[in-house]
Amino acid sequence: MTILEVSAKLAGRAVSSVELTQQSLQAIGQRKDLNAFLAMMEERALAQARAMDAERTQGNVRGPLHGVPVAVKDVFCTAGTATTCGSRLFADHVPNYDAAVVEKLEAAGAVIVGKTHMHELAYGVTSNNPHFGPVRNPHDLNRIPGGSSGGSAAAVAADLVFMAMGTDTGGSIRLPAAYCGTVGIKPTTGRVSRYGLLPLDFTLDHMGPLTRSVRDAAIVLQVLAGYDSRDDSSSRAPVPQYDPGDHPSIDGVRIGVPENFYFERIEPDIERDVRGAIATAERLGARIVPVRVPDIAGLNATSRIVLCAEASSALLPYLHRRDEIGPDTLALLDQGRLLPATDYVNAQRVRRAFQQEFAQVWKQVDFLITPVAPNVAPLIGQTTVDIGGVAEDVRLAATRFSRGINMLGWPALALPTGKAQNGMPTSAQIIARPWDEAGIFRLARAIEAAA
Amino acid sequence: MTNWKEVANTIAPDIPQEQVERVSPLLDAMRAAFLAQTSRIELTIEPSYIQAVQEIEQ
Repeated sequence: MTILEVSAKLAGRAVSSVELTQQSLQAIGQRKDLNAFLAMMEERALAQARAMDAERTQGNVRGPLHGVPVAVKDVFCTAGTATTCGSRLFADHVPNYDAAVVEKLEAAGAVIVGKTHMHELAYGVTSNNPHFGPVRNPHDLNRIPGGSSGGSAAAVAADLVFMAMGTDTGGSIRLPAAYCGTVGIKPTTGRVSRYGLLPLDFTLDHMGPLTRSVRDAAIVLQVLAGYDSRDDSSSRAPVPQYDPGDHPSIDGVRIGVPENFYFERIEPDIERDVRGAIATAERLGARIVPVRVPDIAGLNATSRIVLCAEASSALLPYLHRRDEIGPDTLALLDQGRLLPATDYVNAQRVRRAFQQEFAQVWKQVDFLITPVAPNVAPLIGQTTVDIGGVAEDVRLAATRFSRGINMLGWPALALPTGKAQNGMPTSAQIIARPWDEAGIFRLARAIEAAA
Repeated sequence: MTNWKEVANTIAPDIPQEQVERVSPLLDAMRAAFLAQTSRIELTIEPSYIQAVQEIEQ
């Protein structure tokens, strides 16, 4: 069931928010095998649910999220509830304030039932957490859900909550959405306030929802988007209406299909399904334009330098507690400490050059459609994947098509496109020029509705 | 290749030598992939990372 569907049930008094919240808490308790949550917020959730039911009785409905159970990744500060970032470093970190995302969700009437599990410090894509155990993919418990927002994707895919918030530094919303078969959007840089977010990276972190439908993602982003003076990267760009409706027109939109990079070394089922989504868009009136994209591999390489340096800078005050950090994460943090300063500065200069180069793409097309990842979810503990006869590190393979987009700041959405022969979800990535989340939602909803 | 043990000794002596040995090839590979990109930049008076973020505001 989607947010829109349950919202209608709430409006018709077929169910109350308290009942929905209790059902959600019970479902989470029954799916402990997924290991999707790090902390529950039962008391606060039920208080909010009771308040929302009372408001509804008085005729006050805040919007489609009014009384709907949701979850947030354990990187968002929640007053009175531990915010650990999936790390032992923050095991005792209980903030006395709420993140902007938490404030906005609750102000819109949402009921936050708990904090979702994640990759340690949001610094990885497997959600195989050395301290709190692996998150498991609802489609196959032996497989990873992706990461770092793995618990959020698993919780939404398993129907435990109607929406869960994630963060995305190199694909950490889009990748788990793809591996678990949910929608997930990484908005434009500056679109959603970072206030109250435990940071991994100063210039690559983004926040966005994972949902079971495109319209749900649009509804949630509508609530979250907007300027926040407490975050100096927050944008004053106007916030348009995001909900595309049930059957938006995409007649005449120009969809770029990359001839290079994005369809190289990918699993056949992924290519079949993503090209199927492109064909659907064409059938609905979109114009398909073959394009050559600039050097994504170079952009990815530059992104890794920025991330390595900024993550080590952000977490430097904690790095003397080496025994409390998992080996893979510690290896990345140590690399960041050793990088020459000139590499970091030059990576930012190269980033600018790439931004100018990539901006040319939008003179030819309105959107790009690509795979989110070259593969379906790997097994837990798997360290390499073999695609097209080439062995590749799981982490680098998984982020090959998503990582660079964070460097450009562009919005991008993961859209479920079907299932591979082994039953695992496949997913397309829809990318747009800055601030065109509304366009992404229209295109994604049109394809979703026709599927 | 950079002598990462020497670098670590100077700026991050708390990183154990065996860890430096472990990450050295990873660092070398990551830097090699990046340094190939630096031909894209010219000598300019530009900027800081803040501008990279602001760029998309325009």
